[in-house]
Amino acid sequence: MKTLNLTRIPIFLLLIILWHGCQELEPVSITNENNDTQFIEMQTIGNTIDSLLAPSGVDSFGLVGSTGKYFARMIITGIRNDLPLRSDSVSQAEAIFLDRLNPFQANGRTFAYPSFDIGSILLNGDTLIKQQRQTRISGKDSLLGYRYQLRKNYSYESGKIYRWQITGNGNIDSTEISISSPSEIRVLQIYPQAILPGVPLNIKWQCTNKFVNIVVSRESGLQQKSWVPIIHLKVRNSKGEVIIPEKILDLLPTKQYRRFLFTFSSESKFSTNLNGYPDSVLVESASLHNILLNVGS
Amino acid sequence: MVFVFTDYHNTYAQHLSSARGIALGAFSSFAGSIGSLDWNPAGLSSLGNLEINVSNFTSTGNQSSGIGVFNSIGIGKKFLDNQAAAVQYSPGKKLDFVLSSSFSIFDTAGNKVTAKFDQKISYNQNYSFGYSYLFSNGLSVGIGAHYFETKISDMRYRFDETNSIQSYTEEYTAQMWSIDLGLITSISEYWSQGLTIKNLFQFSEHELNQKFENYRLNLEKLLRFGFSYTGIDDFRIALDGDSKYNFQFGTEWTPDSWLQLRSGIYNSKWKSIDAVGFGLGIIYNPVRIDIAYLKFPHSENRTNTITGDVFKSNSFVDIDYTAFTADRLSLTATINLWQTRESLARIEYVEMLGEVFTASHQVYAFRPIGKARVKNISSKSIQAKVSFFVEELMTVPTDTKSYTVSPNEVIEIPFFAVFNELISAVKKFSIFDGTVFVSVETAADYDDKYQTRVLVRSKNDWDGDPMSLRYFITPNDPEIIKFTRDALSIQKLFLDSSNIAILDFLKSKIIFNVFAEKLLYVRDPMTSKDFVQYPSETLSLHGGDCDDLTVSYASLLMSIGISVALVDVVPPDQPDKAHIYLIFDSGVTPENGDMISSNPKKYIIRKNEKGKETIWIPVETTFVSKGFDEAWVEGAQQYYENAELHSAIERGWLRIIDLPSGI
Repeated sequence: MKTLNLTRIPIFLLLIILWHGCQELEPVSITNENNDTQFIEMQTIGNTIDSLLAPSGVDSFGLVGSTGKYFARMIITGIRNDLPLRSDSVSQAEAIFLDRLNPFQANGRTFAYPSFDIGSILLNGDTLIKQQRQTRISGKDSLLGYRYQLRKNYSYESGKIYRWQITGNGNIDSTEISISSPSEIRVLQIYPQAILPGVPLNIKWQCTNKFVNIVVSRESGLQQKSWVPIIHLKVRNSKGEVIIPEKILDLLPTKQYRRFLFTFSSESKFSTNLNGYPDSVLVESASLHNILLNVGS
Repeated sequence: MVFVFTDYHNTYAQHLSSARGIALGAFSSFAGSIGSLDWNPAGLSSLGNLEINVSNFTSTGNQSSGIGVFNSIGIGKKFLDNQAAAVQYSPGKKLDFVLSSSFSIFDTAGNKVTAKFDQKISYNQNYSFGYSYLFSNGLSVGIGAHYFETKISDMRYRFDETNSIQSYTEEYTAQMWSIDLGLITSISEYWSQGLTIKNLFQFSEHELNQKFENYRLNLEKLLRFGFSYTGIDDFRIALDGDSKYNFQFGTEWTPDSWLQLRSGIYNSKWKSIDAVGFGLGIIYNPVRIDIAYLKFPHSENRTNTITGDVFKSNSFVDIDYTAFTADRLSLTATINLWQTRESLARIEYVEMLGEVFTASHQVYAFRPIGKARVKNISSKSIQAKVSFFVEELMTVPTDTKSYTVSPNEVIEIPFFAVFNELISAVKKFSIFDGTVFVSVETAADYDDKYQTRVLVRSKNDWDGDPMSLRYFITPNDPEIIKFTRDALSIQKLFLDSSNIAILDFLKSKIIFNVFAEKLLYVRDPMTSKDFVQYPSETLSLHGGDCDDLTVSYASLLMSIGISVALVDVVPPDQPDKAHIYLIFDSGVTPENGDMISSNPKKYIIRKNEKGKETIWIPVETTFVSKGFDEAWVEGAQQYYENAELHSAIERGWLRIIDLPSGI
């Protein structure tokens, strides 16, 4: 005989079970084959007019040190290029001291900073060439200030002490600053040798520095010879290799640009102060390796 | 014993959908409840009539903070006595993998923004459906269908208008069905076996994007078999094994009807013990609570991290019990909404042993009114009893005693009927509905019932059996008592002056003569079997046939304490001339026989109910109009010819039926 029996059903028991069943299990983690995670830090690079890089007059070909915002920089680099029409090594030393307190503005926006004449700058006894920086303001050429450079005839060596000597001028005192150059970086292999959709880049290099920076740049639409950095990657150099995930490569505007410059750098830097100069000065020594990759399909 | 942890590449086939099954480990040969959907869909045949099942668990290993994970809720129903279906929603049957992001992101201000994952892969067994069919020989077959969804969440990145990196998720899903087949059968009363084929068929509703092909859920086919033995008092022993060489062994002890204690061992390839289960079940109808604890002895080896290669090579039979399952405490509650007990007996046929004659309805309290052919349809011996009920004529059903019936045995159980006074109101031939029930002892409900027709004769109908005539004899009828008192009071002076030794004889004679003055012999008004008037009716009608007159005269004599016996004569060569008359105990001792007659052939010497020999007077009541003397002579003559000359008593065609004094 069948009886419908609802009076003894402990509904509260059902409610208790349902009430406390609102959690979820943690997922299972999938790691890489060696249970060893890559260390990649990615940072975008701002492209506002206030960016130090655009008005600095520094040729972004051989760009270094995009992190931080320094109004004064003293940089010695050794640059290896692997480009379609150029494969060579150059050395470059440059210095600039921007005057943050007196920017050039138009329409309420800062479009350039003037730079100081700090006298003469020598690097290991070699005098850097003082060059004028010009710009056009209200239809007239105007002097922005000076930058100091030394190229080609200057040699860069890893593990070497470079001594900067500044004679000073006006309020800025003379000083001497030394920096040791880091291990040279040389990219040994990139596979595939093009940027392909959904395919990561496997890169191997030779370098003993603890970290390697990779800056990916696109061509400037205005000046074919200059490059606009897009992404900066900081990679822990534990095994001399890295896999750049396709998800990072997907950020590159491959539909608009057909090639991108990968700049690998091994850097050594610190900041210091100069008597008479209001801001910190970045002192940097870097080994760079530039490689141009085309966009494949 | 050394416990060795088994590596990830084993394929596991256990299920964690039922706390009872978890504790036992081996459940496929007798899986009941909605948990059968995973263990063996044939087990759905053991469902209650309408069951709801809710399951929850808490994991001691890899669980977010909180008390429990809602595992499943299901509902199942039995219908048409041998079919059952169930459906289950199981959000807790889930296995998630996450591929961590391989890089960190810093915004332009240098603040770290870390993505939660690079890819998240979720496997869900959202729904299950099942159906089972129970054949008459105890074989149950079932089919189960499980709906799986694979969901991939892929983290992507893009630049926003401020050139900051923003993350977003792209979702990809795939759905598939997996079909199981199962069967359960009983080898004997104590043995049952089950067979399940898991993932026999798989159908994809929607495939994953090709770039995620590696994440496709790969469910392996598996054959599982199980045995269960309940021959030891209060114990059940179960063993399961499968085609991947995994075995489980479980025991269940029922010390009391409300409590069950369980344990089980999960063995992998006969080499190692993978897990052990413990549990208990509490039964308080209609609710059943099962609790189970699943313990992995080497849980320290069960990390929640695997490499990508291992992930790609892994395969599953079910996403419940995997290499990543941690120690777990499970709770299952089952509620039987529409309570029914499994039928153990069935009525195959009912036979009514003739019609019911109202006058003799009391006889059916002792004489079977019918018999029921009852079969034990269970696998155990039962104590069965039959009840009979006619709603219009009985106050309560009349039960038989209990009969022991072996499994599959068929026996005939005679049943009886105690009618109430309403049967006396049946004036003509009528047909009533009677119901025959069969119940198994200790059960509150019946197991089966059978409708039958009960033919009830009117109160004057007589089945022709002289033994039944006694039911028409009513010495306590007030009209009969009044008649005899009136008849004797007229002759009071005569009786007071008569010899006491022959007083009963004289009274009988007086009553007969008074009786004779008022009645005539007439034939039956109808001839179905026979028609017998009650004495009061004969007196009011002033006439009747030999049965009516015999019954009436017997009632008159018995109303004044004179013993009477009926003489039933059925001539062997003329059975249609069967006849009934009576003899009465005159109370005269044989040595005083001359006081009533000088002819000893006119009377019979026999023992009365006290064991004393007395003279009995035969009377042919159809000679009622001729007076006592003539009726006596006729009766004596008939008796002498039949009993003395033809030895009718010895030959069996003359019976003397003593009427008990307690009528």
